[in-house]
This record gives sequence, structure tokens and C-alpha cells, in this order.
Amino acid sequence: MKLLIAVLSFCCVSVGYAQQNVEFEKKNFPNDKEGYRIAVDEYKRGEELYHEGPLQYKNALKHLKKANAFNPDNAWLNYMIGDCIIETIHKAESIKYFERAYKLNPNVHHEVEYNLGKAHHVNEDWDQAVKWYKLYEERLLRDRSKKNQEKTNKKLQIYEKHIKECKIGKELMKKPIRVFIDNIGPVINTEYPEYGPVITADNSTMYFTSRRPGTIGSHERTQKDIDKDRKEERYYEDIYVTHRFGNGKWSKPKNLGDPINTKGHDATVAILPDGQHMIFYNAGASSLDGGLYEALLKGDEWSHPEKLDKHINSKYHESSAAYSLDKKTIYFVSSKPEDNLGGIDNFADESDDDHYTHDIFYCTWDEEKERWNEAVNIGPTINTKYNERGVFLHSDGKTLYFSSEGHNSMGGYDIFKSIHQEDGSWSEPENLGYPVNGPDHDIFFTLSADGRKGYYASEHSDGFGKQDIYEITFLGPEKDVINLSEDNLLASVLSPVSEKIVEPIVEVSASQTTILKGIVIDAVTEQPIEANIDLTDNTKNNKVATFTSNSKSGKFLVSLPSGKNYGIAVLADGYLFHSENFDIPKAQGYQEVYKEIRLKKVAVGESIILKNIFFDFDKATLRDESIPELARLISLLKEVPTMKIEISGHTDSRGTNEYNQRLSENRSKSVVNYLVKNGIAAKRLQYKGYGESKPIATNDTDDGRQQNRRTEFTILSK
Amino acid sequence: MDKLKSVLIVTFLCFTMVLFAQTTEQQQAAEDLIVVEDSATTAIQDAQKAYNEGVQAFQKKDYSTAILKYSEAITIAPSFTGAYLNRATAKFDNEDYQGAISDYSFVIDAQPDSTMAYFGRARTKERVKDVEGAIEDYNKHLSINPKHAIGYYHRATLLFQKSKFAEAITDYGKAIENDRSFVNAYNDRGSAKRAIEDYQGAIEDYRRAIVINDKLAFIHNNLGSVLRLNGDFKEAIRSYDDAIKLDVDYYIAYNNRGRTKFDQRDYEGAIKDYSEAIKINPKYNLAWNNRGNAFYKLKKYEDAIHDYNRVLKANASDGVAYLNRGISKEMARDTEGACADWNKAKELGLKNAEKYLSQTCD
Repeated sequence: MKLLIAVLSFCCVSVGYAQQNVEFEKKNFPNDKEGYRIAVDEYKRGEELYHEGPLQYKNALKHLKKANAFNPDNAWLNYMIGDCIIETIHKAESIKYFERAYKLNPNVHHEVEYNLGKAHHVNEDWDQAVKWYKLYEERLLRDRSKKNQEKTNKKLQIYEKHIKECKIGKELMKKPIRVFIDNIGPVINTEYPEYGPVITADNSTMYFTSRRPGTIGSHERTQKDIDKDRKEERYYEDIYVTHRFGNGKWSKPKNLGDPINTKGHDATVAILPDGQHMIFYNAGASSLDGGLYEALLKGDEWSHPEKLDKHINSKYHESSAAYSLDKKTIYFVSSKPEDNLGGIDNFADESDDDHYTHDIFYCTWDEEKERWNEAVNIGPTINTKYNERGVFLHSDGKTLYFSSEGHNSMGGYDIFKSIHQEDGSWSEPENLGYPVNGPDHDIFFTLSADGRKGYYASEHSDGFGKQDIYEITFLGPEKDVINLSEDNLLASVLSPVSEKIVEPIVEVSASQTTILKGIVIDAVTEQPIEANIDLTDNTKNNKVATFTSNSKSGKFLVSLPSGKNYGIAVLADGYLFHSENFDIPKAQGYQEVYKEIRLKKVAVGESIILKNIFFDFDKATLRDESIPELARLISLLKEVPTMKIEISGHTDSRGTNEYNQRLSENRSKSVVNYLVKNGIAAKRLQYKGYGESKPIATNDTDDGRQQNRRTEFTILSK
Repeated sequence: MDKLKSVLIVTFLCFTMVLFAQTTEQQQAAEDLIVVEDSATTAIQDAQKAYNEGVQAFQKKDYSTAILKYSEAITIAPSFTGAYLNRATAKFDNEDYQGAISDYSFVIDAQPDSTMAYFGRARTKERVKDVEGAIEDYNKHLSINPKHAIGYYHRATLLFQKSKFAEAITDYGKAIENDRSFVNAYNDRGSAKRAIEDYQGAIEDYRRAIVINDKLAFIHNNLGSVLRLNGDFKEAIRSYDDAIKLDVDYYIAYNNRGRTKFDQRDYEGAIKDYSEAIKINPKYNLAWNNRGNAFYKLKKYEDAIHDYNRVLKANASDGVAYLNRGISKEMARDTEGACADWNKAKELGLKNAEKYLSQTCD
């Protein structure tokens, strides 16, 4: 019996030893001295690289894993491996090493429980994460002393946040949104970091940041520079551009080069919907002195960058910005302490000088003083005590997307959206949901004007390495299939009766934006023209914004949010202006309208339709919405003071000839009267009513009749 | 003439009794035979003889001869309404509906209170889809004979088909009042109640019908369907099980049971039932469509598309199949194909297709 107990005890001890930490000591490996010697070398080299910081983790792993193959029972070795892996894209693999390290020695490191919580957290294993975070809390409370109280309290706050994130993650994961998330592919993504995608509203051109070999200035970067910050990647950031082919594939990216990319960090921040205007970040220590810059696309060359106003750039960190559609407001992210709602960043490295949280601010353009007003914090609806970054304003002009560590984030930065209300407030931010957001950082999101494609950078285990750019296809709510049934409802009727088909109620989540794109060319030579495109809100009777068509291609793109009547005037020196009118109801979904605008030279006999002149129904009274168009006409007549013109009125075919004749004449007369009242000599002006005699479209359709009801002017002499 | 009258009365009574008892036409003809005991005239004898030969031919389902013989009787005795009535029935069975209506109308003109003629003409008008005319004749028939359960039943069926469910329910009720074991009336009233979403009332009626006759598979199926609509999936499946036990080839019940399993998110189970329905009736498009839906739910998009293709091969204007196929194509990353399908579904009147197009397609 005693013998049996002794044997059993021995077995138990053996099992116990199997779970014991085995140090790298010669005595522990008496039977394999050579193996031990090699393994110790690998261990030491790996540990050395590990201490050099995250940039060396990949190299450290090679050595540490070899040592681990020889001795899998060393707690510290397992911990180091776990710590290296959690910094890679294969984070979940770190769990087994951390768990082994913990089993071998629960005190292997004072943050082992935290790291296990984090590893399970990023692996979306919410309950396990909470379990380990709680064990971490226990350790913090156990180890708390007067000396470390402040530090511990800070860590406890972080712990509480992670617990909250896990609860949120668990809930959000139960209701995933329907998306396809695709790595944008090896044409764009490399083993180096790619991030910060920004796209034009029509989803045709993308700019992004990459830290790949070949970025400007990287070859001059000394080891000393690199060593200065162990967290830094080897290569500088540069901005690249890629264009979408007709088949949906992206072209090989091209480095934007000078003057955008400098011998330092240059990163994408924003591109205006028309693709003609870029904001980017420069880190300084190069030909630019750092901060947010903007540049214009002239033809196919970017203009020399200009630094954004002093109210936007500060001595702190400004990393992201977005213009409103009228360019009269700029939203930007800054870590400046003034008006900062977050205060000190608990997550920031204490060695950082710049450790205030990042908040979103905005500046408005002062029309009278022609300068930007002081920056204003966007407020507590958007900003939290944590960091907000990556601000992006959608082409609908009212939906702000941003990333935040606060609100109901499920870990790291999550992407949120908030809608600018008519009363000027912002709606409660809404988490975009799982799987767009995950427990890790989801940041720098951008969305096409149609709302179908989003882009962001993320680290997924199926990536090419580090951050990659991903394309998100938003599928909207699930589309319900229709099932069919029938029954022999009537005993005396042989044919079964089909159950009524009830189509499920479908929410449509299409963007409510109209993209007006096209080309401005000379009507005769068909050469592209660089023209100003004035956008007027006819309901408010004011100019909303001015855009420019590209000088080389003549192309333009304007985003028109729904719910307004827009007047669009295309103006270029030496040409008659061209006007268009777009009435876009509130419920209008996404649409793209293409227009080829042929500008006519100011020449005798030329005539144009004044599409933004409006009269009261069945009357000749000019409505206020006509003023901007009339102002353009007055401006033209003042520019060419010898020009004589005829204003002609036209109607559709409804009503009698006599009535139409009279109405058209009265209307043209009203226009002439207005011009005279506003300083144009009457002798330069003629008016004539043509009634329904000169239709330009069919009178059989509403659209045709609308085209026929018009006011024109014709140059009689110059 | 008086003798002929008495014969006609006998005939009429027999005929009426036959119809009321819902016996077959052959039985009706057999019982319709007239024994000539005391001939008044040779002509009457000849008419009676021809009439009897007509009945015999009718019994043998030789409708042409029956019509010929009744016509002979009518030629001899032009006011022989019994011969008209029987000829109308023969014409009905011979699918000469206009001829039948004409004969019934003759009888009605001669005897405006001839409930049998109204009833017969109503049935014939049903056949030629003259629903309003049929209802009018049933109205007349029932005003003369307000205890006729079958009359109410037929009128109720027409009202049901005109979606006048409340009126149909009233008529089925009267049919039941006059015949407490009228199983079909219970079933059909249940269906009418289902149509107005009185699911509880429908369930009660179907259950009463089953108490009267539990061997009718279609009633179990109907009960299953209304239970499904009422959200009682477990009981619904039990009813479909009963229907299938009674009729193992009842593919409609398989399809319905599959749909109930689908509603319970038992997609694998649904596929089994749909497959069984397809096995029994490979042309049953509903099951192909529904099986496609179950495959879609299981993310087996290619299998789903295959099933929708089968539907569309058989019926290229099935908007539902286009809509559903588009949904699977979208998930199979064929956006272009999905948009083409939704465009087609939109053309075919599916409203959601338009919404999907605006949300997903250029």
C-alpha cells in the first residue's frame, strides 16, 4: 500500500513538474549539451531583439521560436513570443504562448493577465477577455501601494474601459451589419503599411499613404534616425494615387512625387469630392515645415502646397481634416490642449510630449474678413474624453464619419457616424457596427458618394502584412427572399389557391446625393476649358460654392445633396456663361448625372438659355430665385459694354397661341425691365415673345414642356 | 296530358330528390325511369319511351344518345319539362354548356319556381365563368328552397372566389346549419376565415371538419397552414405530418411543411421537404423556388441559383424567382447578374426589386 502511494505521489510530482517553469540552465538539459548551447544562443539573441522594440519583433520571433522548440517550458520565453505575436497581424496566435507562460509562472510578467485579456479581446473572444481583464484587476488591486497608487488608478481606468468594450463588442457582434470586406489586393497593398485611403466622390481615384521602399527620402534615412524611435517603420510615409479601371480593378499606384511628397512623412488627409483639391499631412523636417497642407490639381500637376491657416495648424498634432461641400467650414483633428474635452490621454506613452487626447475642431470662413475664424471644439456629442481621429465628411454634405476610442467602441478606434441636423446640432454618434468595426483600430474611413463602397485601413490575418487597405461593400439590411405556398382551400375546387405574395418591407439605405459630373469644352473647337462652376441654392438664393473644371481635361464633379433646387452656372473668360437647373427632392436616392457643357464664345448671333430664371405661375413676375442668374447677365453686359442683346420668352404648347404669345412677351419684358433697373441702358436691350412657336423639345412630355418654357438671350451686336 | 303531367311531377320529384341527395347522374337516370302504366295516347307513350331510352343512355354515359332521345321526347311532347331538365343535365355532361343553359331556361320559363332548374343553370353558369349569373340563379334557387345546404355551399364558393369572404362565411354557415355533417362547408368556411385573418376561427372550423372526417389530407394541410400563419409552427408541422400520412404523394403538404421549417430556421429540414415535393412532382415550381431560398439561407448560393434557374426555365416570367435569384447572385459576388435579375423582377411588378436596384445597382 505504501509503495502504491509512493508511486502515485511520484506520478503527481512528475505531472506537476511538467507544468513547471524550466529555466535555460545547463543542469536542466544534461543529455543534450549541444542542443542546449544552440538554444541558449537563440534565446539570448531573440531576447536582445525583443528588447529593441516592436520593429524588431518579427526578427526576434525567429530566434525565440527556435529556442522554444528546444525548451517549450520556459515562462519568460513563451511570454516574449506572445508579446511579439500580438504586435503582428496574427494576434490570435499569441494566446497559446501567453497561456503557457501563465501556466508555467503566473508571475512571469505583471501584465500577463492584461495581455491575455487583450489577446482574447482582439480575437473577439469577449468572455475570455473579460475573465483575464478581471484577473488583471485583481493583480492591480493586490499590488497597489501608496507609491504606485496614481499609476494603478490609471491602469484601473484602462481596465474598466476594456471591460466595457468587451460588453459592447459582444452585443454588436450579435447584430452584424451586412458587408463584404475585401483586401483591395496586391496591386495596392504590400508587406509594408498602407493606410489613409481617400477617394473622389465618383469612386474613380484613390489616394493613400504607404511606407514602402522607394518613398522619397527613405534611402537617405540613417540607422541613427531609425534608432531614435524604435516604434518607427523603416520607410517614410508618401502619398500614392491609383485609378479605377472600368472593370473595377485599380491601376498600379504612382508616387505623387514633388511637390506633395517630401523627404519626410507625407500622408493623405482628404480629397474634395471633385478630386481637384487635396489636404495632406507633412511631418516637417523637410521642404515643408510640418502640419496640414492643401494643394490644387492644375491639369495633371499638383500646385505647390500651402499650409492651412494658423487657426487650424498649431504646435500640437493635427492629423486629419475635411472641408464642408461649400468649403466654408473645415473640420480637423488636433491634440492641442485649448478647448480639449479629453484632457490628458491615459493611453498615451508618457514619454510623448504630445499626450493630450485628439479632439475634432472646426473653423468657419469669415466672408467679410476673408479669413478663417478661431477654431471651435465640435462639442461633447462627438468628442469624448478619449481620442477622436480620422474625420471625413460624406459627399451628402451632412454625414460626418470619424474614429473614436470613446462612445460605444468595442476596442481601439471604432468608426462612428453623426449627422448634422437642420438646427446645427449633431446627431448621437452611431457605431458603424461589426464587422466593419472590430476590437482593434479601425480608422481613416472614407465612403463613396453613392454610399456603397467604403475604404479603410485595417490589420487582418489575411492581409499582406501590417496595415492594408480594405474595401467595404455595404449591402444594406438583409434582402428577404420570398417563399411561396398554396393550399387546397376549397374542397370543391381542384386547383390549389396560392398564398398571397407579401413583399417584405424594405428599408432603402441608398445615399441621397446627386453627383453632377462632366466636361466643359469650347462649343466649336471642343477643346477642354478651365471654367468656374458656381453652385447656387435657389431656395435660399445664395451661392453655395464655386468649383473649377480641370484645366487639362475640362472635367468637373459637383456633389449635390438632396432636398434643394440648385442653379449651376459655368463661367469662363471670353465665353457666354452656361446655366443649368437641378431640382433634387429630399427623397431622391443616389444618382449620377453626366453633362457635356459646350461654352460659346461671346459672338454676334450666339444665344443661351437662362435656365435659372423663374416666374410666378402663369405670370410675368420674376421670382427672387432668378436674381443670381440675372446678376450674371448684368455682369456680362458690364464686361462687354457695347454688347446689345435680345431677351426672348418661350412657352410650351398648352394654352392658346394668343395667351402664350402674350405671356412670353410679358416675361421677356420683365427681364429687360429688371436689367434696366439695374443699370443696363435700355437701348442695348430688346425683348420679344415667341409664344410656343420655337419649341426645342417635344410638347408631349412634362420634361419636354419644361424645356420649352424658357428665357433666352441672343447677342445682336458687340 | 294530365297523365303526362303526373309523369313529369314524378320525374321532377325524383330528379329533385336525386340532386338534393347528391347522387351521381347515373343513379339519377336510373331512378328517373318512368313506368308507363296507363297510356293516354300513343304520342305520350312514344315520348315516354324516348325519355326512358334517354335515361338509359345517360346511365351508360352515352350523352349524345341521351340528348337525342330526350330531344325525341321533346319533339313529341314539346312541353315535357322533365325531358328538358334531363337533356340539360346530359348537355352539361357533354360540355354543351350553352345548350344546357338554354334547356334550363326553358324549364324556368315554364315553371318559374323550378328550384332544380335554377340550381342546374347556376352550376352551368359557373362552368362558363358567368359568376354573377350563377350567383343570381343561386339566389333565386335559395329563395325558393332556403333549406338547401348545397345551394348555400355553391354560392359561398363563388363569393369566396370573388374575395367576398364575409358573405361567403355567412353562406357556409347556412350550409352547415342545414347539414351539420357538411365537412366541406366547415373546411371552406375555415379557409374564408383564414382569408380575413381570423386564424383562430379558421383553426376551429378545420378542426371541426377533421372531427367529422379525419381521412381528408387536404383539411389537415389547410389546418397546418393556418397554424403556421398563426405562428404555431410546432402544431403546424404536426398537421402537415397528418396530411402526408394520409397521402404520401401530397407534395403541397411537403412544400408547406418545408416552409414552416424554413420559418423556424431549420433550413436543412426545409430542404428535405422541398426535395421530397420535387421528387413527387418535378414540375412543382414553388418547391424549387423555396428550396432555392433555403439554400440561400445556408449560404449555398450556387445551389440556390441552380434551383431558381429551374423555375425560370419552366416559367420565364416568374418575378419572384428573378428577385430571389438576384439576392443569391449578389451574395455570390455577381452584382451585375443580381442587378439584371432585379431589373427583370421590377419589370414583372415586384416592388422590392426597384428598391434593391436603387440601393445596389448603377
